[in-house]
Amino acid sequence: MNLKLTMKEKQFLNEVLEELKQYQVSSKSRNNIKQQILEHIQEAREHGQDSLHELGDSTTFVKDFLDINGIDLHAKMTKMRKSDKRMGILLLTGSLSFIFTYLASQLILSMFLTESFNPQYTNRSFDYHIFYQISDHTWWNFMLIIISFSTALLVSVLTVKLFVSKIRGW
Amino acid sequence: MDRTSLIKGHLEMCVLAILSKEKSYGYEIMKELEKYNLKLKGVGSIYPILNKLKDQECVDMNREMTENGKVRVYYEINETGKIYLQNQINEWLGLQQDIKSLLQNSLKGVPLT
Repeated sequence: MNLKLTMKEKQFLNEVLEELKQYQVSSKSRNNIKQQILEHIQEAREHGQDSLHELGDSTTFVKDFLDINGIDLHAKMTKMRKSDKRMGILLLTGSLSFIFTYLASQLILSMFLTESFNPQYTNRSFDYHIFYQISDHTWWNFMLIIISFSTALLVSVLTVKLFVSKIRGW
Repeated sequence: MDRTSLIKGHLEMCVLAILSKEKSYGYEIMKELEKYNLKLKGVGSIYPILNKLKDQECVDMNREMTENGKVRVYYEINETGKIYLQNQINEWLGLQQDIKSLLQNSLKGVPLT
């Protein structure tokens, strides 16, 4: 629909669509509502009436939409908060297990596959760093980092999966 | 309870009743409601109701070209909608009767017209 909207009309439409998105209303429904609002604005203009005055404010519009579609606003907000909390816990669990595994893997590889912890090894130019420099050979260092990174990624994905299956009953 | 809240509860039935007369579009439905003094504070409710009725397959939606070349979305009640409307009317009449009986028994002497 080719309709030039005023600032207020644009603002109303954006507010409605943003709020509906916030309440996880499907894009199909949002698009329907957008078309209907545009149609209403066009009809109101043709009849010389103030479309926004008739539509009311964006919050009431969204509240009516949720009411009519049987979406419990309170339950929806609680669910969204709960979902955010879960996502936060999962993100934290994943990150921590990734960091821990990476460090553990780098340490184990340093001990068994490099000379880093060999007391007889005296290469003064070598500056050990568990994150990125556990060997003085660049290519070997790179290989070990890749191994640690892949192991950490795998372990963190498995941990998150295990966590998700355990908390599914929340 | 204000009038808007009371109307909102019956808006679905009213919209279907308007559509049972002839196919119509959002703005026209709103104007028809106004004629019967069923104007809402915010008419936005009509649009989610039309979407809900469409999702419930009570109305059919068609885009039609108007005389001035504008595309307008028309809603038309179908057989499912007619049955749904009849059920809503029966429920509403039953409820109305129950509330009336309750009020008559509770407020003896107060005339209920």
